[in-house]
Amino acid sequence: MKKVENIDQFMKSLSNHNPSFEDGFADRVLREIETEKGVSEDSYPEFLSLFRWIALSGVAAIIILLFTVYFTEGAMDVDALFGVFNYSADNPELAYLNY
Amino acid sequence: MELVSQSVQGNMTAFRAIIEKYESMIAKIIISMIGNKDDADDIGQEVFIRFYKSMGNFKGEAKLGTYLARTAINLSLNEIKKRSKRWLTTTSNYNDYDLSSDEEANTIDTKNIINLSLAKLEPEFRSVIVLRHIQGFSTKETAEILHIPQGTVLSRLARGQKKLKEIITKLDVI
Repeated sequence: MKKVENIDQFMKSLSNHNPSFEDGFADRVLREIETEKGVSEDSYPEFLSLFRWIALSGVAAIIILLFTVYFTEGAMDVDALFGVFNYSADNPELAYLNY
Repeated sequence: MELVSQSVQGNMTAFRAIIEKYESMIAKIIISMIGNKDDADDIGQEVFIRFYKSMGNFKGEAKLGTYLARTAINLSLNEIKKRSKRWLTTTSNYNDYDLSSDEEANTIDTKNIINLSLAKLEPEFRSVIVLRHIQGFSTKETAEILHIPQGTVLSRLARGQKKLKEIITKLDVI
């Protein structure tokens, strides 16, 4: 193995240590940025906006359902939500189901 | 700062100029830190991509070189941590050199001696040696990059040099 003369020479050789990337490094970085831009500008916002519309539609449907229940049943409790607001335990229809 | 503000406005030629200006500095830091050129290339790209994404927030309080060097050091240290978690030693990239084989050992030149000895140095000492001796940052700049006091830089430098001496003595190259 080639020997270094002394530690001082070795420390000096550290400052001359000049490793580099393969040629075309800047091109690779710019290409990667363009690829990431493409992904973020095209697919991601499209997906986000689709998700937003689906979520908003769901929320709107739930609000409409709650209003409908309130106006038809005249109340907004669990029984009204399950559609059994006008029924009691001794109701013939429920008694038949329990039978 | 001119190149940065042009890049923020979407001028990719200006951003290319930034990459070309700092590419060799970043290469020196990352390759010296992790040894493997392929991984270093990926990390180098990540340094510039991260800067591209955040350059709108870059106020120029730190020099751009210092800022990029800090990112490069942090990403290199993360890579070293990842490797040690995968039960790989930090010297694994240098195992191609079989020091027991005289024929191969004779082909190892100073550059490879540097790589070998740096790889055997703990990351905290390696980062100081790389920034101070290989990249040539001042003690103050090294302290800023590593977020440590200047006194710590100096003590790590002294201990790092001592350890390097022990390592190259063991490698029987001195």
